[in-house]
Amino acid sequence: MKRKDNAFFRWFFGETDTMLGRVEMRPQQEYTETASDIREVMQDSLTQDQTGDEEDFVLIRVFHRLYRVAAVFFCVALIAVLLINVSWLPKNGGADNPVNNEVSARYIESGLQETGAVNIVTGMILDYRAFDTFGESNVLFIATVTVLILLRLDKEKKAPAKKGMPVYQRPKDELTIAQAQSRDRIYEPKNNVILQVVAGFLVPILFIFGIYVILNGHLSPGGGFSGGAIIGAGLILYLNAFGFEKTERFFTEKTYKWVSFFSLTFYCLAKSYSFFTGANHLESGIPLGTPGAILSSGLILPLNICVGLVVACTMYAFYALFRKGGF
Amino acid sequence: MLDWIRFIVGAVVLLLGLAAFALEVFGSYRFSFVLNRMHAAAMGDTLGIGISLIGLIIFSGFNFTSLKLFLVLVFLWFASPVASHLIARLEITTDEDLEQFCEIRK
Amino acid sequence: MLGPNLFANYGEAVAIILFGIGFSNLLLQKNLIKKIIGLNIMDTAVYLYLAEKGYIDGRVAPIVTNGVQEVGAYINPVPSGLVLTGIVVSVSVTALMLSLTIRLYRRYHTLDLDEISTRLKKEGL
Repeated sequence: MKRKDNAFFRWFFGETDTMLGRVEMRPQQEYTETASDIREVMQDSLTQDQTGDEEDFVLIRVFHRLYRVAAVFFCVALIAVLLINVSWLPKNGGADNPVNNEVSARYIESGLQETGAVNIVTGMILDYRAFDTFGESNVLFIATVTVLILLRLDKEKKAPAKKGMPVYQRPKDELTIAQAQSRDRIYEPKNNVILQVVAGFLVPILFIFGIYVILNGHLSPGGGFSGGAIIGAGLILYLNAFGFEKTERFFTEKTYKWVSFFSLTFYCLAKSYSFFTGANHLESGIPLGTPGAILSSGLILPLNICVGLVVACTMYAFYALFRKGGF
Repeated sequence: MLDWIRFIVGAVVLLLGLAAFALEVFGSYRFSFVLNRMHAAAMGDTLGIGISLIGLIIFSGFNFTSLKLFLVLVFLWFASPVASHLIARLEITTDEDLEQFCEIRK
Repeated sequence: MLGPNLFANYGEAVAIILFGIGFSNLLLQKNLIKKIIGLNIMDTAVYLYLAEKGYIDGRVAPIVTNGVQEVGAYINPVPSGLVLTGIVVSVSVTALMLSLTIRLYRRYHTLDLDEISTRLKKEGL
């Protein structure tokens, strides 16, 4: 691929940061903490009550007490106001409450014919308001990306930073992933027999139950989000019991990347096609099937599977990043 | 008549479960040391959930719902003690002044 | 001043009280992790409130059974969808806040917010 001498392409391929020096931003100082710094913090926290001038100290104490009183007062006032509001609301559970308007009536009356899903909530969130759910999946993905930015550790120690190096190319002044892992192994219940036996029994059940919940999302309570969370819990349990060597045989950063990419792209394309044809009154050509069968209700089943994959990968990625700083 | 007996037995068992939960909460605030508090919490959790779910099974009778409740009970009795065990183990490996409070057999 | 339906709406009242508990945690705790727990309690209160709003007496969950499709048979499905959205967003926000807390802890070796702000002042930021 030929790199062009365009500012955009240079930014895109990571050669320069076009914003560097133009907007006012300071790169974060590399912070190296010496032993004396740590000792100072410890001293501060131990002798916090004795530091500071006497008058300052009194003022701060008065402020703290006032703050606590004001906070409690504010919370109680908030609860009281909201409770008065609640007491004027219409009675809970009445069928004529203004919440139950024509929108929900429409969903209930013609949801089955229009979406083919027996579970009306699934039909609602994955058909009528499918772009909303797409946004939710993207929120999960973006959250993983930000956690990755904040917590990821380098694979191996890079060369120290040079003077004119852009900020994003500098190595992070932190542990490498191998050091973090060796440190992690001190506290981890290593090869705990109790955990391993229970995990060997529970993990297959969790996986099967999660897959069942995802595949039956349009027929019974559940769907992509809950089933994905169950599968993610199974993955985390497996990781806890058998360690990173076992999970890295089938789940690495690359797996996460491709699974998320394909799920989100498929979701976007499928739903865009469906909305495009729907808005132009064209036949979409997606059969709705007989309600109640597994292979029914058009796009809802594949979309549920996509959402489930994204959620499961996200849960596992959160855990692995918090635990080790990489996966 | 039989319904009433079932109702009363179920209610008594359910109340026993709630009492176990109350004792658990009391214990986990009453004790001061971590492992003691964990002991109270873990025991109360397992026992209270067991008794409460048995009470609910008696309420609902012998049908599919009670089978599901029984499966929930089995799952919780597998998962909850193991989780408590792991937390206690983590506490033992990470707390540096543990010897002041209790005796550790190695 | 107090309306007639406070005790009929006990579910909403419990949700409001939970919200207040979470909010007071947010204001009064100094530990960052406890603040995050308070925010999660507030989230949960909002879900409870929404679920209570969607409930209608004597009706069942909105899953079509036996081909019955009358409005009078099922509860309102819209709040359930809103709760689903809320849970996903709350998970993401919690993960983000916890990772920021981890970064702060790595740099300052404390979770106390006052401590962190005094040290920030010392560093001149």
